[in-house]
Amino acid sequence: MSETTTSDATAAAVTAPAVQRRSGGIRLGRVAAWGLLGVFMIASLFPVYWALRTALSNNTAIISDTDNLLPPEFTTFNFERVLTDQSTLSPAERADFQEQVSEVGGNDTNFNIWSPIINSVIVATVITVGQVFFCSMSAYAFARLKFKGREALFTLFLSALMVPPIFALIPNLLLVRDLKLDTYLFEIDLGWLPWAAETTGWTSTYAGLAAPYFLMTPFAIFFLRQFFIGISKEVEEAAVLDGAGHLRRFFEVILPMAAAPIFTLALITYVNAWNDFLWPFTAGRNLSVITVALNDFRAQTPGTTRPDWSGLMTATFIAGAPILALFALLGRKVVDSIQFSGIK
Amino acid sequence: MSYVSLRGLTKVYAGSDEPAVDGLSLDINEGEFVVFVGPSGCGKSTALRMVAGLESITKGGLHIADEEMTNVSPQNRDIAMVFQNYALYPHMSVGKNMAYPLKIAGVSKAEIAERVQSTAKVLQLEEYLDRKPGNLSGGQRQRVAMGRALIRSPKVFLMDEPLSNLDAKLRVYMRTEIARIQQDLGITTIYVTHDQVEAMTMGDRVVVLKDGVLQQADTPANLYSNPANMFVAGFIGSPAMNLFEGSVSNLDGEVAVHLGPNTVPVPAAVLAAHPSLPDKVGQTIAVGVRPDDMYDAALAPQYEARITGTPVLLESLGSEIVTHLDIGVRPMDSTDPDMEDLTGGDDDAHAVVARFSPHSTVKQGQPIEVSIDTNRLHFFDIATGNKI
Repeated sequence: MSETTTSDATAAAVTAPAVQRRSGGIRLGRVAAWGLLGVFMIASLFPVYWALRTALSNNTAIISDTDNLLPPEFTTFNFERVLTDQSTLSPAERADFQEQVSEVGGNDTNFNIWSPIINSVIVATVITVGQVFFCSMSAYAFARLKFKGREALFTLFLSALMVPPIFALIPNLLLVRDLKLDTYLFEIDLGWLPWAAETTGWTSTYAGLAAPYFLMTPFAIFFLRQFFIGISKEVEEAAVLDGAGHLRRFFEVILPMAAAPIFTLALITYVNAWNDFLWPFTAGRNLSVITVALNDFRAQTPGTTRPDWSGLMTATFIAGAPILALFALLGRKVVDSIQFSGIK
Repeated sequence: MSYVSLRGLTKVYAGSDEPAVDGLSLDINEGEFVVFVGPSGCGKSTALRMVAGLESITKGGLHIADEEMTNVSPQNRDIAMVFQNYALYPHMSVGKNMAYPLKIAGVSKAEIAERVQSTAKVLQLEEYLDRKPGNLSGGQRQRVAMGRALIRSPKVFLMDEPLSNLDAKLRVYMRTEIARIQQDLGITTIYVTHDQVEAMTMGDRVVVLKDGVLQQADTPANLYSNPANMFVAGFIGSPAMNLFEGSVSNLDGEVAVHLGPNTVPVPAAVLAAHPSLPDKVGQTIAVGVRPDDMYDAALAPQYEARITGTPVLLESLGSEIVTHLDIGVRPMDSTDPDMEDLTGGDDDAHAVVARFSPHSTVKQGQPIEVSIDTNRLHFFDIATGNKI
C-alpha cells in the first residue's frame, strides 16, 4: 500500500512541472503568434491608411509635413473634386471650383471618376456572370458526366493554369481586334446590333474587354469541379430517381447546393476583373476602366511640377472602396465556403 | 406471377475480372418485403442499384410488373429509393423535398399540396414541413426521405441501408415504423442491410448473398432453422451458430458424431431429416449447434447428450448469460468475411458460444456439463459447405 502511495506521489511530482512547462510554452507561443499576426496586419493595412491620410490632406502640406501620421491640413475637398465632372459646371462654377482645387494643391485635370467606375462595373459584371455561368456548367461536366477523354480534356484545361497570362496578351489582342460581325448573316440584316457596325473589331468595347475571361478560366473550372466532386452522389441519384434530367439536376439541385463556392468564385472573379490593368490598358484605350483611368490621371501630372498625390490617392481609395465594401459585407461567406471545401 | 423478376442479374465493373453480382435470380411477389443481407462487399447494394437503374446490368434481365426494365432509364422505372445518408435536398424545405418528384411529374399544385399533407400525416411530419433538413434529427430526416419516396406511390420501393446512420434506439423504433408503413401501403419493397437483426425482423423473405452469389432466399424462420449452407448458418443468428469438425460413426445402427473428446448421438428423427448422413460414416463433416440449443446441464436434464467445457468468458445480459466455452475442439470458420475482420484472423477468438439461462451457476474457469438439444443439430459437407 505504502509502495503505491509513493509511486503515485512520484508520478505526480514528475508530471506536474511538465504540465506547467507545457502551459507556459503555449502562452508564450500564443503571444508570439498574436504579435506576428499584429505585425502582418499593420503591414497590410498601413498602405490603405496612408492612402486615406493622403486623400484627406492638402497636397501642398503633405510635402512639408511628411512625418505626421495624421492628415496635414485636413480636407475632404479632394473627394469632392475627384467625384465632380467639371464639364457639367457653368464657367463661373468651374472657375470657383478650380480655385478651390488650387487651394488644396491639386492639378486642374477633370478626373470625372464616374465614367471609368461605370465602365469597370459593366465589364466586371459581364465577366463575372459569364464566367460563373459557363464555368459551373463545364465544371459539372468534368465532375459528373461520363464521357470518353474526360480526364485528358480536364488535364488539358488544367495545363492552361501553367501558362502565364502575359503569353496570351498579344494573341488575344489580335483576336479581339479582328473580331467583326458581318452585318449580314445568312442574308439576315444584323446592322441593328450595336457592335455590328464596328469596323475596328472589338477593341475598346465592353465585349472586347470582357471577351478573354467571359467564357472560362482554368482556375474557375478547377475550383468548382472540386466542389461538385464533393457533393454527395446520392443526392443527385435521388434526383434521377425523382425524374430529373441533366438540366434540372444541374440548375435545381447541384447549383443551389454549391451556392457558397459559386458565390466565392463570383466574388474572386469580380475583384480580379475590377483590378485587372494590363488587358484593359492594352485593348481598351478608348474605354477606360478604373485602373486605366488611375494610370492616366497619374500620367497627366506634369513631371516637372509637384505630383497630385492627394488627388491620386483619393481616386485610388474610391476605386478600391467598392471591393473593400464587398469583402466587408460578404467576406464571411467566402471564408465559410473555403472551410466547407476543407472539410469535404 | 412475380411482380419483380431478377433473371441471372450480373454486374462486372470496368477493370475488374470478378463479378460484383453473379447470376442473381429471384422472383418477388407484389406487396412482398424482401431483404438483401450479407457481409460487406457481397453485392447486395449493387444488386439493388441495378434494380434502381443506377448501375447498368452487365448480363441478365429485369422485369417489373411484367415490363422489361433491363435497359430502361431510372426515371422511367417507376421506382423510389431511400438512401443510406437520406440524400435529401438540403436547400429545400421538408415539404418541397417531398413535393419534388410530383413537381417534376407535372402534378397540379393543388394535388401536390394534398399529397404532401397526407404523406406527412402518415409519417408524422406535419409540423416540420417548412423546416430545412439541416434542422431535423436523424430520425426525422429518415422519415422525410421515406416521404419523398412514398409520395409517388411507386411500383417498387427500394431502401439501401436506411437505418445505419441512426443510433441504436432510434434504429429499433424506425425498424418497426418502416415495417408498419410497408404493411399499411402494401408497396413491394426491396431493403438492403448488413444487419441480420433488421433482416430477420423486417423481411417477409430474406435473401442472403456472399461474393455476389445468392446463398439462400427464404423466410426468416427457415433461414434460422434450416440454413442451406455453412455460410448462412454462420451468418444468420447472433451469436453465430457454432460449427465444429466432427466424424460420423455408426455403432450397431446408432449414428453419432464425435466432436473431439465428446460423442453426441444423433436421434432417429434427425436422421430421418438428414437421410444422407449415414453415408458419411467414417468421414469428417461440419456439425452445427446454435448457442440457444446448448444448456447448462444442471438446468436442462431432459437433453441427454452432454459435452464438457470450461467457460473462458461470461457475458451476463440479465435475461441470459452468453457463455464462451473451451470444449477441447476448435470451432470452424463459417467464411463470413465480416467475422474475419472482427477477429483479425485470430483462430483462438472462435470459442464455442452458448446462451445459458440467467439461473445458471456457471463460473468462469470451472468446467461445466453442457447439454445439447440433438433434435436441432445441423450437418454440412465440408468440401461444398452445403447442408447434408
